[in-house]
Amino acid sequence: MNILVCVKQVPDTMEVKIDEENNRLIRDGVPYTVNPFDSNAVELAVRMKERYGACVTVLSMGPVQASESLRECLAVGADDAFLISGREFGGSDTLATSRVLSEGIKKIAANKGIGAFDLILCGRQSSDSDTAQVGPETAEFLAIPQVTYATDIEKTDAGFIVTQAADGRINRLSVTAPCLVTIGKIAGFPRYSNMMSKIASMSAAVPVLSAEDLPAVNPETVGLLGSPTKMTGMQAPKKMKSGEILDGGMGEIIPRVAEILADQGFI
Amino acid sequence: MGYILSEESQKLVAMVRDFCDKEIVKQCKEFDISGAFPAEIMKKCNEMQLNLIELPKKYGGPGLDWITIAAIYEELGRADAGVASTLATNTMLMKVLFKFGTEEQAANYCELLKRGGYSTFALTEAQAGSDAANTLTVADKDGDDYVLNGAKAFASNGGIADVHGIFALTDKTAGTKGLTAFLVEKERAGMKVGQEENKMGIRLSNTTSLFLENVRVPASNVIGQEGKGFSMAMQTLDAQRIVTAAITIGIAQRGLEEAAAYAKQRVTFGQPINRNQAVQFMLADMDIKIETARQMIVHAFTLLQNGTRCTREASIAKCYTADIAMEVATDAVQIVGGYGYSRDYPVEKLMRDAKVFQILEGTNQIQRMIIGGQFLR
Amino acid sequence: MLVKKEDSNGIWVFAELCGGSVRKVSFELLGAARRLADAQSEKLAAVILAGDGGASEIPEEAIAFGADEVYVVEGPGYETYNTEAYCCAIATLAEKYRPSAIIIGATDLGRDLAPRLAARLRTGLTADCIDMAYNSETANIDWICPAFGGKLIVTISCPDSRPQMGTVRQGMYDLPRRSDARRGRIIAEPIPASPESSLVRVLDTVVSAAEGPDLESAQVIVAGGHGMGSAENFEKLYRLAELLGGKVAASRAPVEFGWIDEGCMIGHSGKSVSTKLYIALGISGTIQHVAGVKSDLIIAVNKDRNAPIFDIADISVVGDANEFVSALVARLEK
Repeated sequence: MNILVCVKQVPDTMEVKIDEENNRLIRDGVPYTVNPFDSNAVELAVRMKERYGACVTVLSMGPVQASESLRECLAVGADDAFLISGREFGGSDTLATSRVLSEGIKKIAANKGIGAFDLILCGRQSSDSDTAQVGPETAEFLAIPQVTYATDIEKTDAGFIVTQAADGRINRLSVTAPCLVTIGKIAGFPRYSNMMSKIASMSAAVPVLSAEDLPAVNPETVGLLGSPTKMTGMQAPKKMKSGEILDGGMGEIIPRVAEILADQGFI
Repeated sequence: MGYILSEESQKLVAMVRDFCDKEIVKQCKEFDISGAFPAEIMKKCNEMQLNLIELPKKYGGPGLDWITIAAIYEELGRADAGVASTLATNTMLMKVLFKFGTEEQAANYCELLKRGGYSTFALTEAQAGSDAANTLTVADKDGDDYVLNGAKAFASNGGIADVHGIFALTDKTAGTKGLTAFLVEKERAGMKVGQEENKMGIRLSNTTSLFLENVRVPASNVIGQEGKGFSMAMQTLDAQRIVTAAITIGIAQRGLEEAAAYAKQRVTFGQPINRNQAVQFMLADMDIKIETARQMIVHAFTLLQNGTRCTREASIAKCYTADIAMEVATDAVQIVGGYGYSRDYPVEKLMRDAKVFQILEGTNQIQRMIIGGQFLR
Repeated sequence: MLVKKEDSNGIWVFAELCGGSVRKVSFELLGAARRLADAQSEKLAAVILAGDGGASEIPEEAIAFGADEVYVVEGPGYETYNTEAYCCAIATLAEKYRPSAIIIGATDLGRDLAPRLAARLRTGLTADCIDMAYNSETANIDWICPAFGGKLIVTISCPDSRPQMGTVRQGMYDLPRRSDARRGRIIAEPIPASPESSLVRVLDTVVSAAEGPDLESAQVIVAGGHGMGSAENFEKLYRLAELLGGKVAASRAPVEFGWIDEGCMIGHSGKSVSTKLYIALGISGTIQHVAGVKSDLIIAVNKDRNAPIFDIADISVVGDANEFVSALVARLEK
């Protein structure tokens, strides 16, 4: 079985600060990590590898530094890693990103001589943009079925049984291979890399696929210009109201609060 | 941080720190209170292969240099000195086997470590701590076997060990030159584990007495040569003392970090207490001591790395680090004040943990004897 | 298929069905989309997919909530949600009628369907919007959504390709006034379910236990945060909620401390609520939390005078949340 996991390198959103002068993100010194849901996807892929036997490939699109995140995936059990990188791809929105990823996936499968990956995993959504769109859009470009919000996957003869947690329900879905599954919460936690695999990952090769390696991608349909959506504004969340402030002792505060609650008919 | 490390080593140390922050720092409190063995924490440490940090490449280990090893032990000590001690204790028997054991003994031991096994290095007895010549445990030759009798005290990892490194007299008349080291598997008939010590600090480590009643081991369980036990132990202790110092510096570093963080947010008389020069200077002195000690460790390990004898430097590093860790931990409690004395805050634990490092692996008085002894010659 | 801006017309809202009736968010979006349609002088349509006869009175209801037209696709294969069947049917309709925008509720279903559909139509999609507005200068819809865990609010537009697509969160808009006198056109579109929809089949489905209580429909919520101090103190919230006829919820911290189940977490990664009264106790008010709160009256209690929760509060009580709860409970019990 061949599994491919799409991973995104994201800034640690807890560390991201906003420059209040110009509403820009302050990215300097912000640590980058593997998007947490993508880590879950890698973990699930490695668990499937341990259970059924599989080759796990990780793929990212981003600047050259994103190879660091791919190495983190290698350190926790992925077998090989590829990075799609190039100025042409910068500023891609989800549609353009999915277009590139899908061509990259086809290219890697062809190079491996495997026809197609049996299973493609993505994290449910990224922590920086939260769109949850790249998975389904990539599935569409690859013309394969999708299942989103998965928590677990079992292999069957014809495909997979996916456990899905969505809309307050736990669904079990059967899906044929090849398919794309987006991963949300999983049982347990992603494993830590150990000393030996961490050391091995540091010198592992991470081949880069450039625009030249992906001739099927029309350059006019990717990057900032090829993206249908544009960001036209950015602002810090507004302060919404300035209400009544009560800051005396509880002896003063409570009667006033009780009065308000009574006025509004809550008591 | 005062280690000059390759990019690769920096990443390894960062990985260990991240693991410690997530899996040890908060979790250790429960075990510090109960004194129970933190089996789950240790299992995770072993999965991370933190039990293999000193293992050479030849035996399937990472083959790290001593400075990287120091930085990793400091991270472990910073998280919990008990966990760090459990891991470091394992490496004592390993060091002896690598240097003096047979290839088979060394390889078997590596396999044990990789399986997550533990060992002791049992030299100390109730009446013979620093004074090893006073050992009472005996090993009598009986055909091709040896029969061991006696008792060991304060054996680190005693209750969890799969194999014990036991020092016993094969020649009762020869003092320390009559000591021989044996590998004694825990399953051997007559090998018994005594009660666990209820310790003041490093409570996540397991310390017990050991009893040997007619424990029969084959001659192949002898490490090195008969009568060389004490000499082997002493030669191993140089490296081990620096490892211990690296753990100890982690305690001090944690104390400084906790105190500095508290001093930054604690406001008295309208300003944070770190604006108060009395506190600022205390923090500065803590930092000076820590960095001085850290550089002693780096120096001693650099000598060891280059194959230069470093008994003096190892003793200086061990002795000084343990003393300043105790001072720094005490000052950290002072800065955190009433809360520092409370078990709800982490600094009082550091004080309890630091104390034992002035005692174990040769008390600081013994270290001073070693250091001062050179002037008698 | 790429559709040009000038060739498109009409704003569509996907009416998501749940147990035979339309989800509240779809009606909220009909109300908001009505304003967009009026601003750009276009028609507003609802799209309904259901099994044979499953649409029943829903088209009329959609008209009553503001739709001018309702496209109804009924037939086998649409009884329950299937990504491929639904995507294929809506794409077929969109290619036929060329709407200028398709708006979908940012429910789990919506966020599964919308990107698949957007990719099929090769158009742009904005996720999880909190607002939308017609920009008369550009003649595009401005989609407003949070980014970086809510630390920034960004505006996205889709200037050249059509339809413009967005998923919009529940609770961002009030329900529009229902007017059964409104008239509209119901257009039945018999589209057989895509054969590829059989590649994914539901084997079984159960209600998740982790989902927690139904906070979404609660009128009163008493929510606690880190500032409650302990599990024991947190327990007092249940008495206060009982006295006010409400439910207990929390910000992230109490969930992480294990004081309350994850199903009770409110915020960006938890539930979004729309209440009459929301009492925030010892909650600092990170944007992640605040993103899930919409309430007619918000009372916030926090020791820190500068806590961001006070930015959205109608009544800001500077003080200890735990003390406040005890005192208010005592008062209400009198």
